[in-house]
This record gives sequence, structure tokens and C-alpha cells, in this order.
Amino acid sequence: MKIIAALILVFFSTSATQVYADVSDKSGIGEQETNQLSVKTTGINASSANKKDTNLTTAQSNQSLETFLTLLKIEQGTAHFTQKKHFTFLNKPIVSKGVLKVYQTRVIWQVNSPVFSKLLIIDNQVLQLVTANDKNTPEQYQEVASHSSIEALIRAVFTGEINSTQWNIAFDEQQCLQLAPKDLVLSQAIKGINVCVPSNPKQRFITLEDAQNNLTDIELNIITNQLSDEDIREFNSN
Amino acid sequence: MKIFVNLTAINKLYLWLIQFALLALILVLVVMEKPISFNSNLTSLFTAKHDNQWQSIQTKIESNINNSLLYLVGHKQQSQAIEATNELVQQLKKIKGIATVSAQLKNIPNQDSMINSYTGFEQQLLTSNYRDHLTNEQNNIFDLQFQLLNQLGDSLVAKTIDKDPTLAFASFLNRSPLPSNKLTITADGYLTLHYQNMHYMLVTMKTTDGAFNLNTAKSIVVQLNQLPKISGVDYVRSGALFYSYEASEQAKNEMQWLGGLSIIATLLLIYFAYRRMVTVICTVFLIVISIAYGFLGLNLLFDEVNILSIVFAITLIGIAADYSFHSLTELQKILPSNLNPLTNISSSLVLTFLTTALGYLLLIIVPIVIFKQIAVFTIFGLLGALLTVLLVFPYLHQKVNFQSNNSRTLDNNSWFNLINKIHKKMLKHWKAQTYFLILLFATSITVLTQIPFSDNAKSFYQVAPHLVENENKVKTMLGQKLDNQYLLLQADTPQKLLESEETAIALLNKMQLNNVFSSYQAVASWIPSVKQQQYNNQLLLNSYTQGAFDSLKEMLGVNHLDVDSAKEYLLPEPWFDSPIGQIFKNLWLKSDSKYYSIIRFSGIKDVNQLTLELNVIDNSIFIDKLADTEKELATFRLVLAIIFIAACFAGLIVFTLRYGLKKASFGVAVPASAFAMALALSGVIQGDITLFNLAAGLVILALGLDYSIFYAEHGFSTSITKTTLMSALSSIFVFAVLSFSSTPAIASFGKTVFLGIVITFIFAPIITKILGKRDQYASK
Repeated sequence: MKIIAALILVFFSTSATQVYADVSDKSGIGEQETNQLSVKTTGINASSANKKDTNLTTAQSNQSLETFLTLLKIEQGTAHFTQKKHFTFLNKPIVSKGVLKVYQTRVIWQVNSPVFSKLLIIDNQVLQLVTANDKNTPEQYQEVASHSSIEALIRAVFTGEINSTQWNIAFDEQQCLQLAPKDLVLSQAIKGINVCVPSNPKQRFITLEDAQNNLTDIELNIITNQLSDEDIREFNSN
Repeated sequence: MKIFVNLTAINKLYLWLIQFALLALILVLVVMEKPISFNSNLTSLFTAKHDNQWQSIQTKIESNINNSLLYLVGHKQQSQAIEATNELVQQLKKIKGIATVSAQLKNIPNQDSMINSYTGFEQQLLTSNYRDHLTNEQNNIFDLQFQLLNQLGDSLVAKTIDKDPTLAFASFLNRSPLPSNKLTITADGYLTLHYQNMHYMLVTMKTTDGAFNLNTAKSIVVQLNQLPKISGVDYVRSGALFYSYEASEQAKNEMQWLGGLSIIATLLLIYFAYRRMVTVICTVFLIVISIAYGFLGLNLLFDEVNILSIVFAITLIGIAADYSFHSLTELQKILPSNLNPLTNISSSLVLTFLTTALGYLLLIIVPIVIFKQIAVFTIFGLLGALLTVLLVFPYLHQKVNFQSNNSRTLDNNSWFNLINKIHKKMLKHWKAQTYFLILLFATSITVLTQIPFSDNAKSFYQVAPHLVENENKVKTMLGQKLDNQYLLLQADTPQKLLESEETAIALLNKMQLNNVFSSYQAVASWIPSVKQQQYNNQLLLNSYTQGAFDSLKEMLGVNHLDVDSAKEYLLPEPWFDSPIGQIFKNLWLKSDSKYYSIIRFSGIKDVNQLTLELNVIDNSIFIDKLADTEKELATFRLVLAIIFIAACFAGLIVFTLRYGLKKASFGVAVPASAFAMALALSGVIQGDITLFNLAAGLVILALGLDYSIFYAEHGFSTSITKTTLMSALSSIFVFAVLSFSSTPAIASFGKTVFLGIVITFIFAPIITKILGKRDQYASK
């Protein structure tokens, strides 16, 4: 769940330029912290052989980050995802497939197979569907007793602000963004997130590493930027 | 009695001095022993509480809440915010009255420490959801297990699968023990939040005394206000203490202004009526003495006095001054050589004291502590005033010339004459006036049936706008906060208490699904009872045997999962010392060999349903102070209405014995009708009626009966019109001034009494036209 929030943070920043403004000196972040943006790399990309640390200048880095975040920005739409979770104690990864939907500041993360589950994220609330996915009965959600870190992240996403006090942010030439949590509780669960955009702008590749060194790969394919009225109604929790 | 009346003036003075010295001595001793303290706790207006067994524990819980304060220290840069926070913490630690200050969390329960808190008991802990998946045929346990395995980035499964391969333990820990809010924890333990491009650090503190003790509140707030502020740093603070301080400042302000205005108005009235400075000095003396008696009464009967009572107590000025008017008017007519100058009015004075005291005494029955305090203050104050008038004024009459400088001033005073003429005209058509009074009464009753009663305790006190604004800001910044309502459970043993909580939790889980509230915090959610642990373990063992975990085995690629039979059980005492147990320690209390626990809620949406459904839990009470207050208010206004009717009947009986039924009926009907009219008018002005409007009825009746007594005893004359007018005007000033109070409760009370006195004064002389036992005074 923590990671969903983190992913949303990366993918669907509703105001990427604001994100940039926040991490730049203009919004009051100190020079030292801004410099960290360009050079800080996480354990994830360090483990990737095809990625190199680059010492871009702060200006160049900020420029690239701004472009990258603009590229990631999605106002609304639907994407299919495939998630592969590699546990160190399992030989085979656990594979699941589902749909991600975004509408304004609201997000749906729905796993369709092999077991159905659905999360709805509204502002600082993370809600879980608790009734069966039967179209004849109204959907019922229950607030997940999430840790504040998740709410802070989700809030950050919806306000378009990546809080540099909560994340170490790094960006490399390979068009990959790395986030490492600064928050004490979140950092006990995950080490970092790596987000890459390949040549096909409708695709995203995400890798995240948890505190136990288990890796999760997610492939995302955006199928539409349009939502029907029925889709939009789905974003209501009651 | 006769000996007492026949005492010489000097002996009366000695008698007064002896009793006053005695009372002053008692006052000094009481103050030295246990000085009275002032509080501003508006949520405990009532003296009627739940059963005693719950009371002490409830007080303990609430004092803990009332002792808390918080500061949010914000800066654009986090490092600067932390620096400012550290500086503030150092300064706060030096403040007298603050017990603990904390900005950094120590021993925050992390995932590893939470796992370790349950070592050896992992297969005895099931969430209700996990149990449902095992027992309910419609649910497949593998769905839940897969969701756990598939959960993004969470390392719980990886960390616990070797301790419990059924993932029941992972499911148990896959929740947050802390209520959701917007705070995050920095690596060095600061609780931080981001708001409007600023980084805020949370500083929490506890005061040594409760926030409602005004002396402590004032001392701490004054010290806090003096703390140096760093430029560019935003300081936001919140806590009951600031409300308390504001209430005391407001009350002090009103005391000064309203009290000051009342005294000035009363003194001016006396000066213009009697045209002698000595009458003003005598009245001031009388008021001072009556206030001293009032304080003596409060000191004798209460340990703590609400600040609102003191504001209400201003009314004593107007009523005590009445004694001065009656006696001064009499003394101006009597020669100084007369040994007993107040003989003619002494019985009237005693009778008026008795009726007023009776009216206020009835307020004591109302289980609202403010009314009790007002009643005690007023009764003691009036007793002091009566004794002073009867014992000191005769002596003063011999030594000081009370005669007006201009002997004709009093009788020819234009406005006295004007009022007297109006009353005379009215009395010529007294029957028409009586019908008019009946018509007005009937209209008022009709109007009253259309006006709603408001029992909203919050509307009685107006919180300063800046405090409301500040509170909203803190709420927005911190996110969801725990609600004020909570469930309090009691049992003889810790295990019984946990079992009781488990019964409640079963109901709460259903209600949570129905969106009755967002979330709750309960001890038994994190430490099941031994009974529940036995059941959980047996359920796991049975489910495994029945093949419920076969799908999981297949996914994990194993042929066997270890499910062990429980040998020992996790008990509350050691668990409360674990990092996770520490979080719940404040929800668990022991008092008088009984165990108590609290279940707290956040985001309550339907408090009625919650209250109703939790009713079935034995040995528990749902604490909702505001709702309880409203319920009590609804009951007490009914009680108050009954008391008013009883007071009318009591007055009727006393009047009938002295004046006969017909005259008595008029004497009581006038103030009673005046109250109905005043209530209807207040309702029309306010849009609703509160308990405080109703409480005014007893004061109107008490004062109205005084006017009836004076008219019935002495008949209609210019002299009686003067004293009654003076008495009415002084009360009118005081209560009219109260209606300008910024506290709605005080304003409603003042407004209704003011209107009631005006109306009762207008119609009071009608009694003189009615023939009765003492009809020699009835004007023809």
C-alpha cells in the first residue's frame, strides 16, 4: 500500500511543474538539499548494471526532472498493469494483473487476477473495497488504518508537491527517477522506488525494493486518457 | 423577636458588629484552610453525574485530556523549524506549571519491535477478518493470504512467514496501531507535517494542573505569551488551557464593565432619588457587605466556583440595593428621635427576603452547578443586606441626616410623579387592565407553543473567533483527530475486561462497515483475551487439518506448514511494557481494584446508532459529554418548569393565608404572567428558548412577589410607587446590562428577567384594587 502511494506520486502528479517548483530553490529548499537531487542515487539503480551515476549540474538536473515529471503527468485515464513480486524465499514470482484509474486527484488500484481487490484513494484517505464486486449492490469502502506516511504521500501527490523532507529524489540520464524514503516508518518498509519511461510514452516500468531486499516489478500500459461517466462514478466512495 | 425589635440602635449595631466579626473570622479560617478556586469548565455545568463508580475514572481520563497542550512550530526550511523547536522546548521546560515537554518520540514501535512484542504467541493472534475467512464458507482464506503476499513493498510477510506460515500473524500486524493523521516521523524522531509550503514540528506538553483552574491557566498563558519568537517562524498552539484563559479574561472584562455600569446606574438612581450623598454611601456600604456575605456563602459551600456564576452574581447589586431603597424612603419620613425607625417596613423587608430567598433556594434544586452558586451567593448576600438594614441603618439614622436637601424633591420629583400618574390612570381601568393582562398571557402562551427549545450546550458559550479559527487550522494541519466520545468499560479482572472489549469490537466492526464511524482504537484489537487466543489457535489447527491452507501450500511450493498448539498465552501486564503496548497504556486504567478500558473513535458519523448499539455491552458506558449535557438540559428544563409552578403555588398559599385567595391570586398571577410574556418576547428575539430563559422565571417571580407584598401591605401610594419603581429600576439596570453579555447564556437570562420585571412592575399595582383580608389598604 505504501508503494501504491509512492507510485501514484511518481506517475500521476497532477501538477508536475509545481513539484519542480517545490524542489527548486524558489520554494525555500536549501541549496544543499537541491544539490542532493542531482547526485543522490538509491540502492535500486546502484544494483542495475545498465544505469550509470551521472554528475549532471544542478540546473541540467532540474531541467531534466521538470521535463520528466511533465512527461509522467496524467490528468485522467486508465492503465493496465502487471505486477511481479519476487520473494527471496520463493522460486517463482507472484504475478498479478489489474487496472489503475486516475481521475483528477482520485486514484483506483484494482487487482483483477488471480484474486480481486480494490483500493480507492481520495485526498488523504486510503479506502478498501469491502463488498463483493457485484454490479447490483452498491460498492462499500472502508478506510484503511494506514500509517500517516501513506497519507502524506498521497496528499503530496494530489497537491503536486514532492516533499523533499520525506524523499531523497534522484534522476539519471536513463530517464529514470529514483525515490528513497526519508520518513522513518516508511523507510522501514521500503528501500526505494525506480521509475523509468521507455521510448513508448504510454509505458512505464517501475521497480521497488523492500527492506527485505524483495523486488517488485510493475509494467504499466496506458490504454486511454478518457473516462466514461460510469468510470467517473466509480471514484465515489459512497 | 420583640426583644430584638426593641433593642436600642447602638445595641443593634453592636449585635451586627459581633455577627459580622464572627462571620469574617469564619471567612478567614475557611480561606486559610482551603481557598476557593475559580474555574471555567463549561462541560461540567451539571452536578448530576453517572454512578460514582464511573465518576472518579472519568475525571481521571478527562483531566489527562485537559492537561494536554500542543505547539506546531513552522518554517520554510525543516532545519530551521527543528532549531526553533529545540529552542522552544528549552524555554517551555523552564515554565512553571508545565510538567513535561516533548518534541522527539522515543521508542517508536517499528515493524521489528512490533513483531518481537508477540514472540512465542504468533499463532494465537487472528484478526476478525482472518477468522471470518476461516469460518465463513463464502470467504476463501487464500484470497486474504494472496492479498498479503501481493501487497506492494510491504515486508511483513517476509519477516513473519518463518514464525507463522499461515500468514495469520502477518495479517494481524498489517494495520496501524496509531490513529491516522497527517504527521510523519523524521529519522531523529520529530513528528512533522507539511502545510502551505512550511515544515511544522509538533511539540506536546502536559500541565501540572487541569486547564480549567483559572489561576494556573492564566499563569501559564502569560508565561507562554512572553516567550521570545524567532522571526520567520510560525507558532500555532492549541489546548483547553487557551479556552480557559480566554473565558476568564472575557468574564473578568464583563465583571468590570457590566458590574461597574450596574453600580454606577444604581448609585445615580439613588442620588437622583434622595439627593443626598450619604444615601449613596450607605447603599455602597450595603452592596459591599452583601457581596462579602455572598463570598462567605460560596466559600462555605463550594471548593470551586465557575466564572460564569460570578458574572451572574452581578444581579445581587440590583436586588440588595432594593433594601436600601425601602429603608431610605422610610428613614426620610421618620424623625431621628424614633428608636425603631424601620418598624413599619421591617415585616415587609423580612417577607420580601423570604420570598426572594425561597425563589433562589428553588434554583438550588436545579442540578446545574452555576445556578446553585448563584443561589448561594444571592441568598447569603441578601441576608447580609437585610441584617445590615435592620441593625445598622437605625443607628445611622440617629447619627446622619437622611432627609433630602430639598424636602420637596422627593415628592415632587417629576418622573416619580409621572409614573405614579400613569399607574393611577391604569388603576382607574383596572378591570380592563386585568383583561388586557389575561389577553397578553394567552397570546404569550400561543407564541410559546411555536418557539422551539434549544438544548445545545455549545450555544450557551461563545468561543472567541480567533480560537475557533486556530482550532480549525490545527485540525486541517493534523488531519483526523480522535473524537471526544468514547466507550468506557469496566471489569473485575483484566481478562474479563478484554473479553468485554471483544464483545464490543464484534459490534464495532459491523458498524464500521456501515460507515457509522471511520476507525477505533481498542486494546483488545492488539492483545486478545486468553479465551480468544485459545479459540484462535484451535481454529488455525482445525483449519489446517481440514485443508484450508492447501492453496497457500501450493503457492509457497511446500508440503507442510507448521501450526503449533498454544502452550502459553500473552497477558496484558507484560504486553503493556512492549513498544506496541506502550501506545495503548493510556487506554487501560485500574482504580479501586476494578479494571477500566477506553475505546476511542475517530470520524463518528452517526453517534446515535453508535450509542444505541453499544448499550448492550454490560458494565460499560458511552461517554458523550455534549449529548449527555443536552439530554440533561432537556430534563432539567422540565424540572425547572415544574419548580416554577410549585413556587407559584407556594407563593399562592403564603399570600392566601395573609391576604385571602382573591388577592393572593392576583399577587401571584401578575409575575407569573409577566414571566410568560417575557419568555415569549425573548423567544421571538432569540428564535429559540434555552434553560437560561426559563431560569429567569424564578427571579421574576421572586422580585414580582416583592412588589405584590409592598403594594398589598401598604396599599397604592406615591411612596410605595417610588420604592417599587426604585427597586424595579435597579433590577432593570442590572439585568438589562447582563443582556449585553457576550456569553449567550448570561445574555438570555438577563434579557428575560429584564423584560419580566418591566412587565410585572407595570401590572403590580392592580393588587391594591382587590379586596382581601387586609383590605384596609385596598384603594377604592
